[in-house]
Amino acid sequence: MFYFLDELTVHPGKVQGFLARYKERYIPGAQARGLTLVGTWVTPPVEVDGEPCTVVAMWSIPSEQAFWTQKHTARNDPAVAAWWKEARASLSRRERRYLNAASFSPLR
Amino acid sequence: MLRRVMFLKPRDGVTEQQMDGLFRACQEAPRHIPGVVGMQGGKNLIARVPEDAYMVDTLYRDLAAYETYRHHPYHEEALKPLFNRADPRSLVESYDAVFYEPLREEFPQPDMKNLLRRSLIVRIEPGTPPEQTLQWEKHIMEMPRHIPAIRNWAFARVMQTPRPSVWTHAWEMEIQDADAFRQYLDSPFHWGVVDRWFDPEWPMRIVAPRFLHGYYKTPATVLGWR
Repeated sequence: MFYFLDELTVHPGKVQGFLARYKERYIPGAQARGLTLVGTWVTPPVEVDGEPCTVVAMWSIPSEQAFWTQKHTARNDPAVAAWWKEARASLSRRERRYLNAASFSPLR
Repeated sequence: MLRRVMFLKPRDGVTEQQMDGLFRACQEAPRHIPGVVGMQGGKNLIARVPEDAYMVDTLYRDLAAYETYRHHPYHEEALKPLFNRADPRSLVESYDAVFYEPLREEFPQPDMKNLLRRSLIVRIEPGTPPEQTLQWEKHIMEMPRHIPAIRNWAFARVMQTPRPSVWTHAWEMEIQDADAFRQYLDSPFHWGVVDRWFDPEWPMRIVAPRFLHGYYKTPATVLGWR
């Protein structure tokens, strides 16, 4: 199993609106490409006035083959690029981190 | 040494036997044309679009040898008609070619037999900060250290002479077989480090989405031609 983390830092006061759009506009397409959403979190846990919030989404991919298939699908789907372009207006920072399980990790 | 890699789209209706004839004509070139060290081609076994259907490799002693090749009667009479769309004998609808001299190359296994010779030709997005391009180049050239399936390899910045090109880099390798290519794909260094630069969903992607990619079977090394 492959895992990766998306860290999406949202401008102050915008996190709820961004989460709604993420759920509606991004997640269904990602799932159709073969990704499974493990979880989505917000940090800090409570929005602080005037301060940014980061959405952390963990995704899994079942195999190497599925990894490359979803990558090629995303590359050729203009909706994916359009989503991230639109999302830029809400985000001050974005990072995607690919993960390799440590030997003692319960999730592998 | 000046290397040229071509990707060919055959004309409609051209058979593999006809393309084999084109490749035989290519293989004869070094016997006829001074300064052509090697020339051969093959069917791209992982072609995704018709433009990538076949590949041809050529190694010239230098740029002067390329100019000799261009004007040599063997090129004019035996090769050019097969590649020139305007010629009724042409087997090729279109082609894309890049020229390069390797920035770095290694041949730990020059005696490989019956291998796959693979080429990836890419374009770094215009406006990419030079330091990001350098980091990407560093990651590419680190791959052989992490992925034993990569045997002989070369990495290059594409030259803009003798003809201008939209492509910026060539990443070439020789691997034993399709299983070795799978090992290459499955390496965490590949999918977790290098491929981010190609990933349409990674914010720091710098490699343009369209590229030329392929491998073909060869009885012996191409990258090791000398």
